[in-house]
Amino acid sequence: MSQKPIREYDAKKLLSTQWKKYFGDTELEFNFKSHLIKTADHANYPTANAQDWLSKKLVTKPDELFGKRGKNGLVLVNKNLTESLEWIKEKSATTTALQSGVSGVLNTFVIEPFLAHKPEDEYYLSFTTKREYTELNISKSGGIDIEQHWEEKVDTIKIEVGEKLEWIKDTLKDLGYDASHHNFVAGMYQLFCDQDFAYLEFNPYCIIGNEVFLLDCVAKLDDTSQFFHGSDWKGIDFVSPFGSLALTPQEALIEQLDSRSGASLKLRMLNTQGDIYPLFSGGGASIAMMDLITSQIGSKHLALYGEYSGNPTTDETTQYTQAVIDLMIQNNKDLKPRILLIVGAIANFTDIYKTFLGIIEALKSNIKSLKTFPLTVVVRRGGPNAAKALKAMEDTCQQLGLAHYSYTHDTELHQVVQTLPNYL
Amino acid sequence: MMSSKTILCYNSNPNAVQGMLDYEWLTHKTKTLICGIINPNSKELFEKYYFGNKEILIPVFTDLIVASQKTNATILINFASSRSVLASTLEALKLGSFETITILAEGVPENHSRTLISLAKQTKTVIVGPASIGMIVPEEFKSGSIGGTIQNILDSKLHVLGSAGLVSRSGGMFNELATLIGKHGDGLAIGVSIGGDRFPCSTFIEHVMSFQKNPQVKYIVLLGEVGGVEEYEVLEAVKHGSITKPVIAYCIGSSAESQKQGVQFGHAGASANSEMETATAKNLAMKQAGIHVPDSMAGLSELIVQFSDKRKEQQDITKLLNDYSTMTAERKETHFVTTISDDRGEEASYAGHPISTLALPDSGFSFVDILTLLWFKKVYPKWASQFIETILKTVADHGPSVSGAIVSKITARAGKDAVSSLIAGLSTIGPRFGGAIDGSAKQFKNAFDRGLTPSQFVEEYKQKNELLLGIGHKVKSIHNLDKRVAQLYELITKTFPSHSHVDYALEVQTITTSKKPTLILNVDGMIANAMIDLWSALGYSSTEIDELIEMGVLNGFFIVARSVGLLGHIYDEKRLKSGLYRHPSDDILFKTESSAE
Repeated sequence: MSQKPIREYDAKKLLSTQWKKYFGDTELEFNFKSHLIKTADHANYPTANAQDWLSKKLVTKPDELFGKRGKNGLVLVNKNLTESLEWIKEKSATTTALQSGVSGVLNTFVIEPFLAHKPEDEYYLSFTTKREYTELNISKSGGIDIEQHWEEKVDTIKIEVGEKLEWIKDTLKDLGYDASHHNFVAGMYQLFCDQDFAYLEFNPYCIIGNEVFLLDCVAKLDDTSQFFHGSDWKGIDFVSPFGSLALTPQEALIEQLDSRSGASLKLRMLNTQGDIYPLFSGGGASIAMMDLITSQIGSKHLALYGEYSGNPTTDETTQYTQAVIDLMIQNNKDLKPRILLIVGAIANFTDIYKTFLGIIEALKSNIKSLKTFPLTVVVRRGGPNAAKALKAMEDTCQQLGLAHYSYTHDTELHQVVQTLPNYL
Repeated sequence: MMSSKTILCYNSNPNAVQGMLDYEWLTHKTKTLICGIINPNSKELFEKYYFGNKEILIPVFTDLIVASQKTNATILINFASSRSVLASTLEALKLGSFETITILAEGVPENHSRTLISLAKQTKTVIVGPASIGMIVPEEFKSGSIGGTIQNILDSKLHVLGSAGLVSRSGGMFNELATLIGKHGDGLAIGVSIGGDRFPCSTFIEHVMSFQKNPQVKYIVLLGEVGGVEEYEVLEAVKHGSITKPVIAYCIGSSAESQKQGVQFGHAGASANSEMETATAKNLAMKQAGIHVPDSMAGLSELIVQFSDKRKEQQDITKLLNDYSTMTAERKETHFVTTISDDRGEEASYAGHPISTLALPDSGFSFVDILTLLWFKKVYPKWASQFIETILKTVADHGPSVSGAIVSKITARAGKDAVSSLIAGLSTIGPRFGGAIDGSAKQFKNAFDRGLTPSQFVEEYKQKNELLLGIGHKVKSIHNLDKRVAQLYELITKTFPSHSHVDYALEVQTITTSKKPTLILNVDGMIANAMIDLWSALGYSSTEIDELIEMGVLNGFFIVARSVGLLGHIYDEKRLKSGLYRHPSDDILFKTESSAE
């Protein structure tokens, strides 16, 4: 649970559904015209007569949570629908490499009306939540080069938590912005707060007559507040950014489990060639272990990042371990040595024995596959019922004929990492 | 260190609370600092916990404001869920009486934290969390589950005061470091886990500055993380000389930099939004500012050895652990609770008063004083106890014909003993006989509380076609008043500080007697309303009075008094050696028919 980027399409859709509440008493209008295309879903392709604007000139761009699309040559402007769909087909047929080094196959695009406008109509606006205030950046010279001219062209305003909208309007007035922008920014700020955005950027936006055009939009939501936005956020996908490895069914399963559980369950595949499969416990300890493995023996060994904490049930731990074991077996067709690394810091309240019973259950039910390659189980834990838990794990491994090494919290984390190359 | 700290918990978390109590016991506290639990949905008055091997009762409040006023607690530990933690913490902040609030919930919306940050700044309250496991001041207190099990607390010497100030985002890593510090140094002077959120309500700098001011802290250990810029505030303070104590610090999360896809770690705040938020950048900047930064986590122990000026004497914790397990083995859940009397020790006592100080004539205590001590746990002022005595005298008996007396007499004549005969007679006390006092009190108080005028009240019962309890007499009327009632009224007007309920009841009587002369305020109605006035004058709240009525206290007066009368009738029968009673058949109307086939 954290700040999560959302698609441009979803962000604008959310703004459009909220528009009336924040701009109902202004002249400002926003007409949400946008079509999301997922290339995997051909039924979703629009036809020119579906909506009036689709028969006119269009802008097409990928909608996969990465920026600088213009600079990467990934914005198609002023073309009709046939040309746009053709371009999508072409772009999604091959691998695209971004200037940032990330690469992958594009699969989600957004089509919007093309707006003929003057460069001086392009404004820039962004909001970022900070501890004690919201940082507002605004400029009369929006566009893709804004970052090069940041210092001289962007006005930065710190809006304290709980600040009145009138203050924002007055400040913008003092900075020489037109009244329509005062209303737009103030309303948008309130909407930003109420909908628990963590970040929102329009680069550029234009106000022509009374109509607002959000030509480009980047947004992050704080997904911890999802509970409070049940209906407003309906349909918003919290997807992984472009270039991420596609979510395996195991990762998807754990994500689902995490969202329903009071405990924390995280799983992210990093490297299918990795030979260390961690079962880390605790947010902090999992990071510390990732660091120690990276610095002591190399990050290439890490097959995945994950952690379970907050006293998960035995059943949740079984499912979590099953997912890790599945990934380990799937990605080890050559039957090379693997390590199952069960490590945590000293737990405050997680019942170690209870969670270990879950791990033991999963080990038992997969023992046949696990014995087809050299697997070593390395354990290091401390906390409630740790002694009993370590003993149970040792007994199980012995019984199942699995190589195992276990350590109490007297052995420091880095000392455990030191031993790992011996088993690979 | 002498402590004036007292703790309130919002919502209960039995494991964490018991862990705190065990910690207090372990550090030789004689009583707990936890003075209450706030649970808005609780119907209980207290929760049971163990302090050492003894069960104790921790008061439960349903309202935060009341709890704060009654306890003057300085620390609030908020166990509320991520969804409800904002409302309760805001309420606590607005009271301004808490120095520290710890929030344990994970997944608190960032804007909720930001709202709390902004208000906490105004009220100068330190909020630890969200997603904190708590804080600990060895030998003084611990809040939350920080430190883990007693075994771990002893292993990491968290039960004795040391010299390190430790602040960490992670809870698990807090324990890891506390153990290292206990092993390689002399343990902690204070430790705080601030949680792994993007916007923890209090940040490193607040805690490090308080460590700087705390004479017990000799050196500071800080465990930071990738994400956020809060470590920079600390290094700036070091650079500017506002922190002079040695600081050992390390930021975890450098491995994120070698994962080009980016990876969201388990902590919400643990991702870098810019180069300066990376672990490597922060570690480098801290090192350049003169903070002692190891090359990796592995180097921390060495630095701890270097800055902890002495190693704590290797205390044998085996004995302490044994004591602890022996103590917990002795714990036994009790099945009964008493709050009124005690027969342990030299002499039995009533509400804390040894019986010998109450019993003799020159003690000055009347029988009614004993009654109020055992029923209400206090001695009432003279005017009130004299009124109760008057009631008891007034209702002790009412002749042989009434239900209770006749049943007792018949039972005694059947050859049953005094107890059985008394019980038989008492069992007639209820809504129609004697028990009208309870019902009357409920009806009149309810009408009075709702602000009904006497005529509205009478009208309402007429509409409902229900009897007004405490109104009406078989024989007496407005022209021939019940002397007992008149006498009570005179006493009330003479001795009560106020008697608004009685006045109200008399206004009701004016209305009812205008309809029918026998609808007078009877003795039950008078007692009921007088007792409400009496309790109000003694400072009982409306809810407390409702509870007393609900408990059946008013009927209790009747039961006590009438037992005297019933026993009189029973002894009378015994004395007269009366034989078995059989009711004459000619006094019964027989209307028996054979049932239809």
